[in-house]
Amino acid sequence: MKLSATFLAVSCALLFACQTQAQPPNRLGAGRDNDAKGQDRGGPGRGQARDGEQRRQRGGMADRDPAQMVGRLIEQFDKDGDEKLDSTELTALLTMMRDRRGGQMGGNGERPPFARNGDQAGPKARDMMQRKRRNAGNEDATPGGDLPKRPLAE
Amino acid sequence: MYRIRISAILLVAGVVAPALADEPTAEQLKFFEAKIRPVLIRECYGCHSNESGNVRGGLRLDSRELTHIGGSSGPAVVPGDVDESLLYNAIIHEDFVMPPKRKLPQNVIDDFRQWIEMGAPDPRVNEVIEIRPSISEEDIEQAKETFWAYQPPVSHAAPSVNNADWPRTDVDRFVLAKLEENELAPADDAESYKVLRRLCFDLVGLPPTPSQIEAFADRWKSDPDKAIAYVVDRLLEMDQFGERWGRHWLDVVRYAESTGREVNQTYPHAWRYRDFVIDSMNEDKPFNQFVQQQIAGDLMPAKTDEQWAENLVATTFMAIGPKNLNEANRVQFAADLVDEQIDATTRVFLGTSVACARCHDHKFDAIPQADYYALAGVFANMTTYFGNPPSEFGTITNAQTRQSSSLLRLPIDDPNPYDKRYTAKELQDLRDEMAEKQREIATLGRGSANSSGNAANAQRTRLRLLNEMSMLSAKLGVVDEDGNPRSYCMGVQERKRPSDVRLLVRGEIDQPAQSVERGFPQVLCSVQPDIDEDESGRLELARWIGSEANPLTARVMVNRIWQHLIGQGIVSSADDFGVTGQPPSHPELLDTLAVQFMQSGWSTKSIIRTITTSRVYRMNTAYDRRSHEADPDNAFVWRANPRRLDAEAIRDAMLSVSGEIDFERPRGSEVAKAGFTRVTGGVLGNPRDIARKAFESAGQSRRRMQRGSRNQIAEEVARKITGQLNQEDAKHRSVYLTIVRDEEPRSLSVFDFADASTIIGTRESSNTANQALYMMNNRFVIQQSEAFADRVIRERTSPNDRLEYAFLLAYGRPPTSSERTAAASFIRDFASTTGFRSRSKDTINALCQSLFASAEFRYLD
Repeated sequence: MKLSATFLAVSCALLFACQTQAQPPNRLGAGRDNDAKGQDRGGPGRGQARDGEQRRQRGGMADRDPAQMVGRLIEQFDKDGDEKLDSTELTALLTMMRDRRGGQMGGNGERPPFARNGDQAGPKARDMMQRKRRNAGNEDATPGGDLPKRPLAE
Repeated sequence: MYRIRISAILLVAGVVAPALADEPTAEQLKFFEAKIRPVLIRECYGCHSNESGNVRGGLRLDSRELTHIGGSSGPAVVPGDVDESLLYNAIIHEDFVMPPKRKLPQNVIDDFRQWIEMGAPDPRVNEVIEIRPSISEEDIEQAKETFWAYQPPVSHAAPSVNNADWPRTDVDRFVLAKLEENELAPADDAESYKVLRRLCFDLVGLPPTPSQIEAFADRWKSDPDKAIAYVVDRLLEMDQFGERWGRHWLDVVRYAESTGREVNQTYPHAWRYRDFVIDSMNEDKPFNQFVQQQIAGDLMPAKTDEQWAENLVATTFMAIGPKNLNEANRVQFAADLVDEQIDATTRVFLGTSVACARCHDHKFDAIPQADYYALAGVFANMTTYFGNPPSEFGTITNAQTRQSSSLLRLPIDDPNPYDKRYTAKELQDLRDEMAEKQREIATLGRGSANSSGNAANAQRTRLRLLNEMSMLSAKLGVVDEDGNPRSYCMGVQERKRPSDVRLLVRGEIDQPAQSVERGFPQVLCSVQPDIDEDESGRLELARWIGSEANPLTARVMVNRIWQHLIGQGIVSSADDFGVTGQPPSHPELLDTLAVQFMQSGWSTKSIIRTITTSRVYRMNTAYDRRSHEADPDNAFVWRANPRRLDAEAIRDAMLSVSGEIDFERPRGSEVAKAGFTRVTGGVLGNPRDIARKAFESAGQSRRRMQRGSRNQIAEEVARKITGQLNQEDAKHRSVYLTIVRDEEPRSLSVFDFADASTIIGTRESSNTANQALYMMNNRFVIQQSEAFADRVIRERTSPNDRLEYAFLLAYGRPPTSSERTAAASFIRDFASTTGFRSRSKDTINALCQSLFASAEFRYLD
C-alpha cells in the first residue's frame, strides 16, 4: 500500500527533526535546551547523548534549502515515479540516512586507523582521512601518482 | 503533488537554516566574547597560541585567520559548517579528542555549535590593510635607468691597444686595454703542459693522458693557437664535458637527493634531473630553452612523448630544494616552499635576491614587498611533486613527516625502474600486512590516564606501527595492480583556477594585507606580462627570463662561465648582480660576451671556446710584485689565477691516474636503489637490512668463518653501514655520487663541496689540515695510490722509467733533476721501514700517494 504524502511528511519530520531538536536555537543568548527536553520528541536512536555514540546527522548536502532537500530526496528515491515513497523506497531512504550517520544503527563499528578514544569508523573517518591526505600535501593526489597534464601543441 | 509540496514545506518548517552573517552583529560579537573566547583562552591557548609558544599540530586558535586556516588536519572552523569544522569535531570527541583526556560540558559544546552555525563571528582579526611600499615608482624608474645590471647588454667594438702583438682575440683586447689603462702588463704564456692540464680539467674535469701531453706539446711547438683550438674542439665533444659542466650547474641549482633538515627524506627520482642537466650540456642545448624547461617545462608544448618527459623532468628544478617536512602548519609550509622557489629562480637565473623582499621592501635593490608577492602568485599556483605517491590506503607518513607530496607519472615508461616488482602473492601479503597493522593501531588505546607507562608504551607502539605502515604504503604506492613498478619523476604541475596571493605583513601567514596581482619585479621587467586570469604566469615568466629582453640572464650565465675558466667572475659576486653585489671589472667585455652568447643561439660551448682560445686563458700564474701591489685581487687579470681543483676533479683525477675510473654512466644512484625512505645517521633505510645484505655479499656463513676473517668481515659490514653514503668503492665519476643533504661523501666534503641546501655559484677553496690528513690516511686514497703504483709497475719496467711515468701521469710532466734526487732519497729511506717481501711495492705505493697528496696534483698552475 502506497503511503500518502502525510506519511512521507511525518517520516521526513522524524529525520529532520532529530537534527532540529538536537540543536539549540540559533539565537543569541538563548537558553540552552537540555538534551532530554529537546529529544523527548525524537525518534529512534535519540535520547541522552553519550560519549562515543552521539552522532550529528549529516545530510552531506551542500544546499540547505529544506524544500529543495525534500524534493531531491523524493526525486532520488521515488523509483516508480508516482511522486510518493512506498515502503521499499522509504526503506532505501532510511538506509542512506543511516549510512551517512556512520553506522549508528548497526554499522560495522570498525575503527579507523588513527581514531582516538570514543571514535567509530565509517564515512566520517574516511572523510577525515581524505581531508588529512588533501591537507598534508597535494589536494588532488591520486593513488599511484598523478598523471601530468599535457600542454596543447602549438 | 501539491499536497506533497505543502507537507514538505510544513515538515521542514522546524529546520532552522544556519544564518551566515557576513558582518558580525553586536549581539554575535557579544556571544563570542561571553561564550567562546573565554573557553578558547582557558582550554586551547595553552597548546595552540603564539603567546604560549606552543603550536601543537600546527594549529593556532588565537586569531580568526589562523582558526580558519587550521593545522595539519585542516581548517579548525569553517563558518556556517559544523560538519567541516574540526574544532567542533574535536570537542565532541568524534575523530579527535580535545581537550585531551576530558570532554567539555555539553552546554559549552552547544555554544560552539551555535557559534559556528551563526557564521563564527570573531573580532580577533587583523584588519585587511594595504601595505604601502617605501620604494616609490620613481625609485624603481631611477634604478631601471641608472643601475648597470638593468640596462640591456650592448656589444662593444674591441678597444685598440698599445701592445698590438699580444692579443689573439677580442677578449684579449678588452683585458689588455684595461691592463694598459692601469699601467699593468699581462703575464707570459704558461708552459704547454700546464695549458693542456688546465684545459683538460676545466673542460672535462680529468688530467691529460701521457699520449695527449706528447701530442699537444708537438702541436704547441708549431702553432700554440691551433694546438689549443684543436684540443678545445675535441674536449667539447666528449661526454665528460657534460659531466664536468653539468656539475657546475648542479651546484647553482642546489641539487641533492633528499630534503635535508630535521626529517631527511629521500628524493628517489632526483637523479633524472641530474642526467637531464648533463645531457643538456653535452647537446649544447640553447641556454634559453634550458632555462624555460626548468621553470615551466610542464607548460611547454611537446611534439613527442620523449620531449614531454624531458620537459617534465626539467621542472625537478622547482621541486628539489630543501624542505621542512616536520612543519606542522600546511600554510606555512606552502609559503616556505614558494619562497624557496622564488629564491632559487631569481638567484640562479637573474643573480637577484628577490626573496629578501618576503617580509619587507628589499633593503638595497628597488624591489618592494609587493613585487615579491606578485611573483609569489605565479609560484603559488602550482603543485610541487617531491614525495611518494599515495597507495590505495592513502598517504601514510612516518610520525615526524607532517608534509607530504606525490610524484608525477612519466609519459614514457622507464625500462629499468628501481622499484621492486611484486608477484600477486607478495602484493597481497603487503596489503594483508598493512591491514593487520591498521587493525593493530586501531586497538591501541591511549591507556589509562593514571598509567603513564601504558600510555608511553602505546605511544611507542603507535609510532612504530606508523613508521612501518608508511614504508608499506610507500612500496604499494609505486606499483600497479599487477605489482609492476611505475615510472615517476619529480616536478610541478599547474593548479586549476589560479589566483593572486595576498601580501603578508612581515611575512607572517596570519597577517594578510592586500591582494597583489601576479606579475614580475618591476625593476627587472620593463613591460609587465599579460597574464590571463586562468594562467599562473609561470610560462610567461619562463619565456621572459629566457629571452633577450631580459638584461640579466645572459650576463649572469656568461659570468659563471668566465668564473669557471678564469678563476673569478667579471662580476665576482656571481649570484648577486644587485646593488650589494660587485660591479663588473670589465663591463664592456661582459656585455659583449653576453650579446655574443645570445646571438650564438645561447650556446654555452661557443662562449667556452671563445674564452679558452684567448691569450688571457693561457697566461702563467707567475707572481709579479708590482702588479700584485696595484691589483692584489687580480681583478684586471694580469696573470692566470692559480686554482685548487674542486673536490670532484681531485677524486676523478686519482681514479683516472690509477686507471680505475669507470666512464660508463651509472644508472640512478644509491638513493634511487634505496627508494623513498628516511636518512638517519648517514644510512639510507634500515641499517639491519644493509648489514644483512653486506654479510650476504661477503659470501661466507658465520659458522665457517675463521676468527680473523670474521673480524675482517665485521669491519667490512660496519663500514658498509656507516660509510654507505661515502661510496668509497665507487669507481664512476664523482658527478654520479649520491648527494644526500647533510651526508655528502667524505671525498667531496673535505674539499669544499657545494652546500646542497643553498645556491652556490662560487665554491670555497680552502687549504686545511683535514685535507692533508685525508690524503694521507683515507682508505680510498690509499687504494687509488696502490692502483696507481700497480699501473706504473705494470706499464714501465725500470725504476727511472717508472718514476718518470708516475710524474707524467700525476703532473703532466717529467720530474726535474732535483725531484729525481729527492725521489731516490725517499725510496731509499722508505724502503728501510718496510718488510722485505713487500718493500718494492710498498715503496712505490708510498711514492704514488705522496704525488697525490702534493700541492701540484691538487692545483692548476
